[in-house]
Amino acid sequence: MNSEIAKERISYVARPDSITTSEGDFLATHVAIKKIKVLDKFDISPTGGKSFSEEDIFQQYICNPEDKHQFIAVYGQSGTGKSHLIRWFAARYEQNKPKDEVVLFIRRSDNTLKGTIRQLLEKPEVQGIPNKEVYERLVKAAVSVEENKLKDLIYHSFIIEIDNDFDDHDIKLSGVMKKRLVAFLNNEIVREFFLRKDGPVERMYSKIAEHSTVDRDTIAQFEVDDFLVSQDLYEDIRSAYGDRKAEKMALELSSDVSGMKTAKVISEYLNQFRNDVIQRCAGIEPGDFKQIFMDIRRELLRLDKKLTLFIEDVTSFTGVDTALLDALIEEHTGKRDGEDLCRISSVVGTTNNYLQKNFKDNHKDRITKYVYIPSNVFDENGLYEFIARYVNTMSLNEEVISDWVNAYANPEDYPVHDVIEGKKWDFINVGHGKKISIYPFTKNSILYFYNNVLEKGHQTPRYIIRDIIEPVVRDAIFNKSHFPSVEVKIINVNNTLSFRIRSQIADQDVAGRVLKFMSIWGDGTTNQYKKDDKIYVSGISTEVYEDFNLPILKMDFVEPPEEQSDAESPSKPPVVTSVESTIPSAKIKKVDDANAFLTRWTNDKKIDISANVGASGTVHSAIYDEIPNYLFTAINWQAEGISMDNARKVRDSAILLVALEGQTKNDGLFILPANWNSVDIILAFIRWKEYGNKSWNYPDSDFDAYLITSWTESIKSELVKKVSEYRDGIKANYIEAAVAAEIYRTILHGEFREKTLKNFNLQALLASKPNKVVKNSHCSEWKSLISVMAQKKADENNQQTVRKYFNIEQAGARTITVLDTIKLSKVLTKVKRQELKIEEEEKQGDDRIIQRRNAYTLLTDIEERIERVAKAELENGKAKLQRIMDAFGDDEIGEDELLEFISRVKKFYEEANRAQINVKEVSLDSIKRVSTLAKAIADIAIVLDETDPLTIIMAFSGDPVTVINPLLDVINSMEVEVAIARKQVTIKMEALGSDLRDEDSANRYLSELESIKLSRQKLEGLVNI
Amino acid sequence: MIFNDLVTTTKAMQTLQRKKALKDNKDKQDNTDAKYRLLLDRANSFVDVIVYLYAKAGLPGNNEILYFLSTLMNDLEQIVAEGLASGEGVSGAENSFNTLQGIMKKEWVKQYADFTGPAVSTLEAIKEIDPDRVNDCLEKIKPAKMWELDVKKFEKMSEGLKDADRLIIDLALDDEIIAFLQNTNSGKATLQDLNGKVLKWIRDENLEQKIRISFVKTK
Repeated sequence: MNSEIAKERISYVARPDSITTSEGDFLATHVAIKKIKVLDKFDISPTGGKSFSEEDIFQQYICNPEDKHQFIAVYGQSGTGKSHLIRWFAARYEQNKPKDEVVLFIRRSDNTLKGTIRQLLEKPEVQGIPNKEVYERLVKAAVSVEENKLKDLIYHSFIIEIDNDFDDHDIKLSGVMKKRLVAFLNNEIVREFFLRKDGPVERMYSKIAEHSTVDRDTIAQFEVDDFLVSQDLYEDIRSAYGDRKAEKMALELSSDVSGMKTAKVISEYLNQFRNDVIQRCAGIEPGDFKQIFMDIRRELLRLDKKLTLFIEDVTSFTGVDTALLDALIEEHTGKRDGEDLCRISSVVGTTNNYLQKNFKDNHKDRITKYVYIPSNVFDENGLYEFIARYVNTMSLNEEVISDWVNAYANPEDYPVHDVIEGKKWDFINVGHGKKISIYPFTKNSILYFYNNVLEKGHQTPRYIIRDIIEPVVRDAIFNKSHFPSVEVKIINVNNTLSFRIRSQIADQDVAGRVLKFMSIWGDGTTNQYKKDDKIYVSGISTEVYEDFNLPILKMDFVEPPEEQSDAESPSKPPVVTSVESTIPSAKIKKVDDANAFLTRWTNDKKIDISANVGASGTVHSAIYDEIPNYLFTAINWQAEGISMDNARKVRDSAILLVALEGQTKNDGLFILPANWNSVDIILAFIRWKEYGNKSWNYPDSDFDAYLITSWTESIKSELVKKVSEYRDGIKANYIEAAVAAEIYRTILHGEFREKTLKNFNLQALLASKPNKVVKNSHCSEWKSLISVMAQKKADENNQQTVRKYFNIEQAGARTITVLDTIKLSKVLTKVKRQELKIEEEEKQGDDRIIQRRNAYTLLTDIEERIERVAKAELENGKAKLQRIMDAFGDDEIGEDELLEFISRVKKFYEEANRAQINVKEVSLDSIKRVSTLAKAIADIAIVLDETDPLTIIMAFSGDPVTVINPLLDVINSMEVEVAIARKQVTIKMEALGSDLRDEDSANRYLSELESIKLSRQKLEGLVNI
Repeated sequence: MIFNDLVTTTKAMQTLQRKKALKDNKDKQDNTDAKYRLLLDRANSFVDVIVYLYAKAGLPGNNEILYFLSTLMNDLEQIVAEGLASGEGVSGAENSFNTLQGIMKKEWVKQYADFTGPAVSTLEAIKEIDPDRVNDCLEKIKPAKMWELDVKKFEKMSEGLKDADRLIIDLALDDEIIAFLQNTNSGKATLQDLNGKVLKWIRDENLEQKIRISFVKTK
C-alpha cells in the first residue's frame, strides 16, 4: 500500500459500479471470472453443466465470428459483475473489432430514461441521424420538478390512467373495482403509504429523476407486496373516515384469503400503464425511444456499418424496455414498414428477476444465448487477487496505469506499486511473478469479512468493493491511529483472549482495537509462537502490530504451526474454518452479537436493551433474568439480615438488581459501569446460559465461574445494603404497613370478630380461616373497600407478604421454614399499639420497589376509606337497630323480649287460625336463635355513639346486620300481616251485624241473675234461722 | 308498635271468633237458655219449698240439702257470669239439680212420716168418731206425701195438720187415750196401755172388735 497515493485514488478506484471507473483502473482491477455458464434456454439459477471463462465466451460469442444477428443476455444476481463483464467484453471487442463495426456501449451511470437516450445520442456514429436536434432538446430539457412533486405526478398519473382505461389493455378490471381502486389510491393515508421511502413510487421515480440513490438493479414496477394492506394500515384508513369505496378496497386487500389474489391482479393491471406513465413523467411520449433507436440503425446501414451493442443494464430502460427489446430483436434481414436496418449484435446485462418477469416470452425466444454469472464467482485465491488488485491499483498513480493500458495492458507488464506500508504483511501472487502486498488486509481478515460481513447474496464484487475494500482501506489510510475502527462484529469471540487483552491493556479503546485485530486479522487465539526469528501473536507477526502501533501482548507460547505450501493448498471456496467446538454455531453467534452490542455500549456509554430479540434480547435476558436470578441464589440474604420476602420483592421488581450504565428505560440498585470488566461479567452470564444451558458445563467455564463469583463477592455488601434500604440509611419497613393492612383485612372480611385488638394474636394473623360467607349486609362503602383491596389481588399478595416475611428458610431445604416469632411478635405488638396507624414520617409510600410499596399503597387505600366505611356501616346498623327498637317499643332488647315477641307471633297465628283470618304464615325459623340475635343487637347498640372507625368496624366485623336482618324481615312481615288481620277483623265484625256487636251477656241473663240472687238471699235467711 | 299490636289484634280476633260463633249458634243458645231458665225456675221453686218447710212449716233443716242447694245456685250464676250460657254448663247444673232432687225425695219420705205420722194415726183412730172431719183432714195432708216442688201442697198439708189438731181437741179425749191411740197406730201399743180409762173408753165407743192383739217379735 502506498497510502499517500491511495488517499487520492481510492475514490476513483473503489467504485462499486465498474462502469464509473476509468478504463485503466477497470483493467488494472479486473480479475478473470472462470465459472460462467452459457445456456440456450433461460434458467433462473442454473447448476451443473460446463463452466466457461470470460475469454472463452468472448472468443466464441462476443466476437460474433459468423457475423450474424444475435442477442446475448448476461444475467446474474445484482452485483455479481455483469456490468464488469460486459464492460470487459466491450473493451476487449473495441481492440479486436472489424473496421465496419460500430460498438455502442450504453452505460447506466446516468441511470435515467433521459440519461440513457442521451448516451445513445452522444455516440459519434449517430451524429448524423435525422431529427437529432429534436431528440437532444428533448433529453436536455432537465426535469426540474421537485422530488415530491414528481413523485406525486407519477402517482396521480396512474390514477389518471385507471380513470381513462377503456379496457384496451390485456388485463382488465371491472368498473366497480376500478372505482374502488381510484378511491383507494386517492385516499390520503394510501397516498402517503405509496409515496413512502423505498416505496413503489420511489422505484418509478428513480427511473425518471436525474439524481436518485435507489439500487440501479431495481425494477420500476409495482409488486404484489405493494398492495397488501396490513391491519394497522387498514385501521388508519378506516379511522380517517374517507371514501367508503377506499375502505372496501383496503378491507379486501387486507384479507388473508383474497388479499394476495387481488393485490396480484391490481399490481399486474397497474404495471400495464407503467411505461406510459414513466415516459410521460419524464417528458417523453411513448414511441419516442423506439423512433430514436430505429433512426440510429437506419443511419448505420446508410453508413454501411454494423452495430454491436453492449447494454450494461437493461433495467435502466424501464419505461421503454419493450420498445428497446423490440428494436434489438429486429433482425436486419427483415423489412419493417419498408425500413432498412443494419445488422445488430447485442449483449445485454440484466438481473435474474428482470429477465424472468419483464422479458416477454417472444423476447426470451429471440435471445440467442444466455450467459449466467453465478453469485459466488471467486474462489479463495480469486478473492485474494481481487482485493490485491484493488489495493495495488489505488496505490498506483493514474499515469502508471494509463501507460500500462496504452501499452495494450499486457498482464506481464502489470504494474505493481512500491510498498510503503505493509512490507511485512501478506503478499498475493497475481501471476507473471508479480506479488502484491494486501495491506491493510490479511488473508484471515479477507475471509472473515467475506464470510461474516457480507450478507448471503451479497458476496459479489460490488459488495466486496463497497463493504470490504473501501471501508477497511479508508480506515487504514485516513484513521490509522484508530485502526481497525470499522464497525464489525467479532464472531465467536475468544473470551480468554478478550480477558487476557483487557487484563494487559487498561485503555479500553486500545483493548477493543487489539481484540478486533487479533480476532479478525489474526486467528483469534491466545497462541504465541516464534518462527524464523519472528514472534507471532494470534497468527500475526509482531511487526504487523507495530505498523498500527498496536501493543504486543504476551500470550501462551505454542509450537509454530506447520506451513502448507501453496501447492498443497489448492484454491477453495472462501470458507472460514471455525475452531473445533461442541457449541452450536448459532449460540456462538448469539454471544458474538451480544459482545458487539456491549462493545458499542462501552463506547457510547448508553444502551437500550428493551428489545427482547437479537443481541439486545440476549443482553436483556442476562440483565433481567440470569444476573438477578444468580445473585438472588448466590447471596445468603437471611445471613445478611434481609428477609427472603424483601429479597424476592426486590428481585421481582421493575428495578433491576443490576442495571447498566446509561441503560434506557430502566433503573437498577447497582449500576454496572460501561467498561470492559462489566462486559466480561455480562458475557460470562450469557455464556453460562447459552453455552452451558444454565450450567458450567462448557469449555473454559471455570474462567467464567471465577469471573462471576469474584464479581459477586465484590458487589455483595453494596447490593445487600441497597436491597435492605428504602432510601440511603433508612431500612425498608414495609412489613408494618403490611401487617396493619392484613389486620384490617381480617376485620373487614369477618375473620377476626372481636371488639378489641387485644386478642389479635399470631394465630389470628397467620391462620388461614377465610370467611366463607358469601353474602353479607355490609354497606356499599364496606364492600367497595373490600373490592378496592382485592384489585390486582393486592390483599392476597399482602397476606402472602405477612405470612412469608418472617419465614426463615432452612439452607438446602426450601420447603422447611421456621417462623421468626420474636420479630413477628415485635412488629405485631407495635402495629396493635399504634392501632394500625403508621406515622406519616415513617411511611415509605414512595419506595421505588413497587412490590414493597404495595403494602403502603394498600394500607393507604384502606385508611383513606375506613372512616367513611365506618360511618356508613354504623348508620346502616343504627337505622336497622332503631327500627327494631321502634317495633318493640323498647331500647333494650334482650333474649326475654325476643322470646316474648316470638310467643306473641305464635299466639297471633293461632288465633288467626281459629278466627279464620287469612294471613300469610311468616316463618320464625330465622330468628329462633335468640341468643345470637340478642348478641348482634348488643354489638350494634354498644357502638351507637362511637366515633373511632376501628372500633366501629370491629363491632361490625361479624356482620351483625346480617344476623338482625331476619328479625327485621319478620317484623316487617308481621306488620303487614297484622294490618291485614285487623282489616279482615273489622270487615268481618261489620258483616256480623250490630245486634251481636253490642249484646252483653250480663244483660241477657239479668233477670235470671236477679232470681238467683233472691234465692240465695232466701237460703241465707234459712242459715240465720 | 308490632310488639303490642300483636296482642291487641290477637284479642280482636278472639272477640270476632266468639261473636261469629254466637251468630252461628243462636238457636242452640236459645235452647240452652230455655233449659237454663227452666232449671233455674225449678231450683228457685226448690228453694221456695225448702224455705217454706224449714222456715214456716217448722220442719227441721237439713244442712246437706242447704249446702247442695247453695252450690247449685252458685253454679247457675256462674254459667251466665262470663257470657252466654253454655249447654255443657246447663247440663252440669241439671245433673246437680237431679241429684239434689233424688236426695230430697228420699229425705222427704222420712220427714213426711215424722211430720204427719202422729196426726194421721190419731185421725185414723178417731175416724169412726167423726169420719167427715177426719177425711177432710186426711185429704189435705196426704197429697204432700209425694215430694213435689209445689209449695201449695205443703201449705195444704200444714193446714190439714192444723185441722186435725183442732178436731182432737174438740173430741176432748184424755191424754192417756190419745197416747193409746197413737201407740196403737204406730204399732207400739201393748196390753199395759189398756188401763181402766182406756178400756172404758173402748167399750163406750164399741171399739172392741176393731182392735187386734198380737205378740211382739223378739229380736
